[in-house]
Amino acid sequence: MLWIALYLPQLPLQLAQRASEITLPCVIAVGSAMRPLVFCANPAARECGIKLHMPVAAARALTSELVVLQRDDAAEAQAIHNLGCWAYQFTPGIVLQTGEGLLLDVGSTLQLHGGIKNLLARIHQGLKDIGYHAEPGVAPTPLAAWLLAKARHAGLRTRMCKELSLVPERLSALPLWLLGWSDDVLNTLQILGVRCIGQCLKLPRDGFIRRFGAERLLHLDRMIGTAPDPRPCFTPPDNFASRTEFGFDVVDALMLLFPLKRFLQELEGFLRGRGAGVQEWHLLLDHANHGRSRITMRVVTPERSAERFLALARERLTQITLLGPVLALGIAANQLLTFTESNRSFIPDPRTHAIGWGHLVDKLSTRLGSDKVYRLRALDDHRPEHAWKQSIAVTTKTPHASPLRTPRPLWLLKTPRTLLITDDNPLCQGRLRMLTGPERIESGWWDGKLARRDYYVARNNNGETFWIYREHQRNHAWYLHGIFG
Amino acid sequence: MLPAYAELHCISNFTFLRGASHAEELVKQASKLGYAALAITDECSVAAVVRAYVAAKATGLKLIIGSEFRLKDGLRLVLLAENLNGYSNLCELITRARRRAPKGEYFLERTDMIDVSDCLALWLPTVSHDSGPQLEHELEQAHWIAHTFAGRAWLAVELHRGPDDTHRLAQLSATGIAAGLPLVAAGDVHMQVRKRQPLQDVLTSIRIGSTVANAGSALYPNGERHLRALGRLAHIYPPALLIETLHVAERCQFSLDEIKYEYPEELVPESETPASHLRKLTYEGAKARYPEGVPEKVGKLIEHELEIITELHYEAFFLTIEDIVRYARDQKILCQGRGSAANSAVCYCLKITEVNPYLVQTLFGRFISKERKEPPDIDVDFEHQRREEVMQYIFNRYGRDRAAIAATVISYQPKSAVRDIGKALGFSLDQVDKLASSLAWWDGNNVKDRLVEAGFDPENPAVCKMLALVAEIIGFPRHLSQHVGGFVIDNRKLSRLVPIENASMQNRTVIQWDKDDLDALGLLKVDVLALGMLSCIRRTLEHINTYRSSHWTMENIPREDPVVYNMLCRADSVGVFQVESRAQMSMLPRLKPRRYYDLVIQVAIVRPGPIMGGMVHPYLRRRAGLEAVSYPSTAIKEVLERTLGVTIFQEQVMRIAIVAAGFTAGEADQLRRAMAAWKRKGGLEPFRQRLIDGMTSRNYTEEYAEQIYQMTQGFGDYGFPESHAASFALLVYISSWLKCHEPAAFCAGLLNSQPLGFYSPSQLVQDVKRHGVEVRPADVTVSDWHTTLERGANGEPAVRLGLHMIKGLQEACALRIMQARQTEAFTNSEDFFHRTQLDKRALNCLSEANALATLAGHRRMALWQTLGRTPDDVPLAVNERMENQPELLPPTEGEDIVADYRRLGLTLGRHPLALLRNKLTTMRISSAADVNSAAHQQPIYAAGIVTCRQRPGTASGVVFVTMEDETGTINVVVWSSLVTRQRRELLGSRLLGVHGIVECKDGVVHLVAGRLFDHSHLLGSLNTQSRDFH
Amino acid sequence: MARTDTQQALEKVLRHPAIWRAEQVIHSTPGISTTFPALDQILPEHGWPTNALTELLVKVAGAGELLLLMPALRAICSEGRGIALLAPPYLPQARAWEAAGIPLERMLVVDAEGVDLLWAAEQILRSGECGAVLVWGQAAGRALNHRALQRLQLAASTGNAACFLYRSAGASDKPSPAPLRIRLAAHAGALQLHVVKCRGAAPAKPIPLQLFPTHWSEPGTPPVADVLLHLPVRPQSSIA
Repeated sequence: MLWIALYLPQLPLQLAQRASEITLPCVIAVGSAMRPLVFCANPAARECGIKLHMPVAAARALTSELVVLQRDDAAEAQAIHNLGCWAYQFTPGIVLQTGEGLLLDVGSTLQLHGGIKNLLARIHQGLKDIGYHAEPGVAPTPLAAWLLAKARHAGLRTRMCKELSLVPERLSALPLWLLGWSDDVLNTLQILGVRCIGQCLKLPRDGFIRRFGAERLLHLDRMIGTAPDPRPCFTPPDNFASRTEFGFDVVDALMLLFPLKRFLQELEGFLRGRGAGVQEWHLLLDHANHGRSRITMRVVTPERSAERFLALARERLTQITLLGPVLALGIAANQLLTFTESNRSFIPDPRTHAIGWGHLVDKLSTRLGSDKVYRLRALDDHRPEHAWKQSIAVTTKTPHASPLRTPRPLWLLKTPRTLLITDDNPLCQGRLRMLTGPERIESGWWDGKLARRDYYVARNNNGETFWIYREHQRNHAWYLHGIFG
Repeated sequence: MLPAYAELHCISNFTFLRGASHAEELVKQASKLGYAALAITDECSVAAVVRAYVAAKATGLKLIIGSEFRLKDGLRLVLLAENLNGYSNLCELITRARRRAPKGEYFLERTDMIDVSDCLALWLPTVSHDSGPQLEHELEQAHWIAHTFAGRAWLAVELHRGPDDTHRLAQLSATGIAAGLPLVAAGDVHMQVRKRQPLQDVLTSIRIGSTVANAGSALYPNGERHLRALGRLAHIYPPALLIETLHVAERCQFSLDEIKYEYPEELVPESETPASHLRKLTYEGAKARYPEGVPEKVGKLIEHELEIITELHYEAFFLTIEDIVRYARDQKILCQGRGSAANSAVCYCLKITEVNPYLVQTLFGRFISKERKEPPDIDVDFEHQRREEVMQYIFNRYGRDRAAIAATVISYQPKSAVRDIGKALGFSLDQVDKLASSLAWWDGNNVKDRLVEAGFDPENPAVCKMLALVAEIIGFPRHLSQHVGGFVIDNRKLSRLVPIENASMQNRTVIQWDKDDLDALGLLKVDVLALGMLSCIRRTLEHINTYRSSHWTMENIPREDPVVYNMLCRADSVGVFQVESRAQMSMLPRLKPRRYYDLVIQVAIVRPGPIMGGMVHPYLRRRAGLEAVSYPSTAIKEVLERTLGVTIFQEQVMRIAIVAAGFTAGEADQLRRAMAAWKRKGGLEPFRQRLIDGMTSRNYTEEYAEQIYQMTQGFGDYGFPESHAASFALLVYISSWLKCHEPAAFCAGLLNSQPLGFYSPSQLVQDVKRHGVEVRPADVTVSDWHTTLERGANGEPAVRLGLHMIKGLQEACALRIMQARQTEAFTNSEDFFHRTQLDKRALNCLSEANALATLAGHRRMALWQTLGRTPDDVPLAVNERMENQPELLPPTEGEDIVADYRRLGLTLGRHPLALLRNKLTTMRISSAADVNSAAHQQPIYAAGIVTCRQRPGTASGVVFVTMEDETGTINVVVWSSLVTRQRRELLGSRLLGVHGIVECKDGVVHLVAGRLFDHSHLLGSLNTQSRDFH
Repeated sequence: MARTDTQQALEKVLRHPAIWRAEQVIHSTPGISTTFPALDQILPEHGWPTNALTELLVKVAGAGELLLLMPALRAICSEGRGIALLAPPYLPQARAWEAAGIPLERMLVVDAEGVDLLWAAEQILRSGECGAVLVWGQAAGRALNHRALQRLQLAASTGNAACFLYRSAGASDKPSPAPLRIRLAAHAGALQLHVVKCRGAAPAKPIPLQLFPTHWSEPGTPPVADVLLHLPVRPQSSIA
């Protein structure tokens, strides 16, 4: 048995930086919204004197240009999960440590990878390629490996340990807090003058159980290997997804390539571990205003080379125009296929004809363009021109705005049409007669599109019924805004 | 011709997060537009009516008082008070609605409306569809209103340029005819002018927890809910509907003028009148105060004062306070009155104050006068830990329906304004937080500069909008909170005078008016305040009297003891009331107080008012005889003589306005109010001309007049009244006397009254040790819960720290220990565990605090033992006794200190820096003793543990740091330029190194920092804490 | 037991819109009620035909030509089918449609012109996803010839969908395969329907429909506001 622990205390920061390097002082905040605390800080932030666990407000007092990001537990869990998928290429014995890192049981696969030194170097480089850095720890028990990794991160002198009998000695001088026990226990031990693991192991066992519980003694026993420590192994799923958010708007499609490369390398590691390839994968782009676009990449035969995928993606990205600035990038692959040479002869099946709404919309969009086939969404705004939004046709349910209480025309003019005036009366294919009004709308001061107008329902001699308004400003001009079709 | 109109439905910003104008603004605008009357009808509230009433009086507008309600079933209506009875009924209705709902909410049903007589009702139909069921529903409501308020109900037609006002009007008129309800026009006014719409939108967004952009139809579609010009109304409403408003207004004849205060009657025995009873009590008291006979001077004073009191009918007020004070005295709760009427011979006789009119020139005549129609002001301070008993006494004595606490209106401050408005405008939480937190550290209203500092572009339109809205919303009420101790007591049911609602504290109720409102209506209030120093004094006296079997009381402590003044002149005042702060301490050696009145000045002079007004230096120079004292006139001489021609007290400013500028007493009082408010609102300008004209016409030079005006401005918020200073000065003297003559008892008193004052327990203990008092550790074999006195080695008392010093230990545990100890002393730790049966948590606290040392050896052994205990271990389990004992090394001195600080917040061992001294010496760091004995202008490098950081508003960005080492404290001054450059060291250091120049003046030593160093790492895990004040 | 199962399965198959059933010829499927009794009465299906082309010939816009269809569109949506607007001349005001009872997620809008428009209409009709397809013919221009109309009629019956084609009033004299053709005009605040063609005999008299709120006054009557100026404030009873 030999375990490699990969400890990623800086994971939140690394996630934030996967899309691009942050050079300004940056911290990840946790805790209540009222009093967030610093959880991680990048080197620039540490240089300003920002320390871990200090209140964010205090950190701000140290530098005004501080970037504060919220810790995203879901993204971290996903990242650890993806790392597990990726690490599957080295060993099937993988244990995920939620939010913190993972453990690799490499005892059985060590020889395959040319010894522990080679393997560690490969893991280090591989992690670097996909945008992570982890502290490694090597020991015959998972807990000891984990402890060594944590100690290394804390800047303590450690040595890897391959012999079970050497574990107690190697851990002896390490401080107790590495065990991750609760603060009151650690405080108590400290007051008792027990500061390092060696001292702790020397305490009388019965007395220890009585004061600190059998669970903690078991923890120590498992660590030094005197008690078994069975761990359920992680099974990678049959699909793959990874995603990152930019801290800014990406307008140039080629700027997506840098993070994309990391994803594809992650994907490659995953596929390698599964002995699989994919024929189809999707590039998912979240836009500032247009929802999400999905670009599907296909290859004729199952493939897993990150390099090859990246080349394809580059080609594709140079051709397309982004729907809008990109806020987040993700990739997804769903169908794993066996990756063998014989696959080369596999002829991809063209899309089967599906009958249904989605297919109809697809069909129409393909010919007419996706912006010509759409749905409408009602938005809650007093200004009619801001009370709607074009949305893509495939969305299912739209939230309802509060119901209108007043008869409003079914037709709206995208641009209100100026009306001619005679004798102070507006004209629209003839003289108009006001049926209702004025209905006054004064709204929108907050976004620079202030509307201040009086609406009327008016009818001309042809019997056509219109919705017109008069501006309060700009010469009190009259406009046609809607038609009662 | 413009129509006549009375607005009958208008809410102010006391309808929180709906109304977007101050009541005063509404009244002013209505009056400007020529409205015939204005009704203020806040939702289930009359909180704004006093403000409106004051404004309406000034403009001559007719004010109607009412309130808007939404019943449980959705029915909305406005009730308007027709007369005093109607108003009282309204108040009772509001009280009922508010008392049965959580704070800030109310609950009413139709049945509650049935017996509200003498109120007019305006039914507010809810905007409905044309659909049948809706109309039916509306009709049902209309019928119910017409029936319930027969002959005094209207249908309020509120047209706001909605989708189809004409049709709506036709509909409503049909409803009105069907139900037999007359129609009347109303405005549902939310703001005084259309321009307030953005703020109103923002308020709505804050209320629904959204941004303005997402609020959608929750916002009003337009800004019509303002006080519309009469010409516009004529376009919207048929004339008959407008005229009808006048008929309604005509029926509302109630004015707040009719509200009269009725003093509680039960305090006067049946055979007596209030006057005779007060006289009787006063003379009884005088006999007790002056057993050898009342001095003639005092006798005259008493007669004079009684005469004024009788003339102004204030007897009941004095009797009320006397009753409360008497209760406190019976319960041995220490108290002390202060305020304009408190320092009188009558109050001295009634034992409301201990300021002896015989020894001090009494101030009464100046504070209560026939000209001023204002109720006398007496605040009574009680021991802070026992004030609750006094409050409960008042509630019990008068009943909850006759006694209630005044409200404090919590209003928007820059920080909360930025937070709420930023969120509503959709700024990211991060940005808002950034801005709001930058406002927290610096005080003040200058939001714009802070914005720039926080990296916002003030030219950006969104930021501009935010700034404008923030400026508008600052000062808007947010909610009603409980006043610290202002009681209103009435002879009738109070809820017929003003509505009472629930406070956030359980079983507490507040009225809907605040202190200023009560003042404006001339209602009487009694301030029952809490003062920690009184607790401390009582405890100290108890300690002394037990230890020495003496009988000291606040009354008989020897006055004007020169030894006490000597101590104060040395600035040896740690723990003394009021004069212990850094600023006060540096003033003491310069002012050199030698008598009681000097203390009155000392208390008042180190305040932002006199400091900003530039009064301090002239006074010190004159006192030192370096500057001649001259007065421009005899009238002014009379006012300023006792302060050597310098204005120090608020009353003096008012008095000058009266004698030198011809203000009436009432005008002077307005000036006082304006002074208090000008920083927030401005408004001193009108007084300037009045003051200068008045003074120049009385032959003062314009220069002098201008000087007086400048001074008035400087007093601003912070002028301190002499009447309060006089009472405080007495407590300064008494606490000084105790510190001087009984330092051990005083220290115990201070420790037992924490949190209190400027210094932490650690600093208090260090100070008392420096005064040669022995301090003994907390120990379960001898300590009580409180800190006590023990006989010391030299016969002088020693301080025994109480178990209350141990963080995390419950009082009940201490009591159990004391109880167990009473029968028999503990023999060993097993015995202790067994007999006290304390839980693990308590045992850990005790062992970590080293309080078990006598029984269990060093704290590590004690802790190992206590950890092994389980609660139900009654007889010791065999296996436990057989347990292997670990080898635990005794803690080092450093470890002991760290542990002491963790559990006790202080150490009785050596100062932590004593351990580091060798190291510090090699770093060429000087000690506090070196600094304090250094020559003026000597450069020095010192370091100490930061105990206090201050950034006073008066000192333009300077930060004062107090550091401490084993030899004493160092006072560091950090100029603002260095503050900006070395924020990190300044704010982040626990152990601060300062390179600086010593400044030595009048025996006060400061170290002016040139460069700062953070040496905190030398402290390791020592947990020290600084008290920071802004 | 087995029999019923088979029967049910068969019925399921038969319900598929692509299955053509002989009985359709004899008993035409009932239409969707227009909710206007006067109109339902004269239409052979007692409502809008659900699997055929209906031509609406409009003289002006703003006469209530859309309001006319609203009750039927609402009914279609409530059955779970969608509606499609093809080449609408203006932007459908989302909140007004929603207020009219059309769930917006069931409403597809397609901007197209010429042959694309007709192609799109055909695709949507044939897919059977939409219960009603509203086509504004002007955008199709010349492509809207007799052949195209035939195709639409066929597609409508194949997809079991109602196809409403808005055309200018001038087209009323051109022949059309549409089984129902109605000319729309505004008169005195009401919508006038002239049935130009329908199975059976077309009525000669135009049918007036009141689609707008009744209180929107008619020309000739004084504005309500003026009347209200003289409105009594107090009901008669309380004046005394």
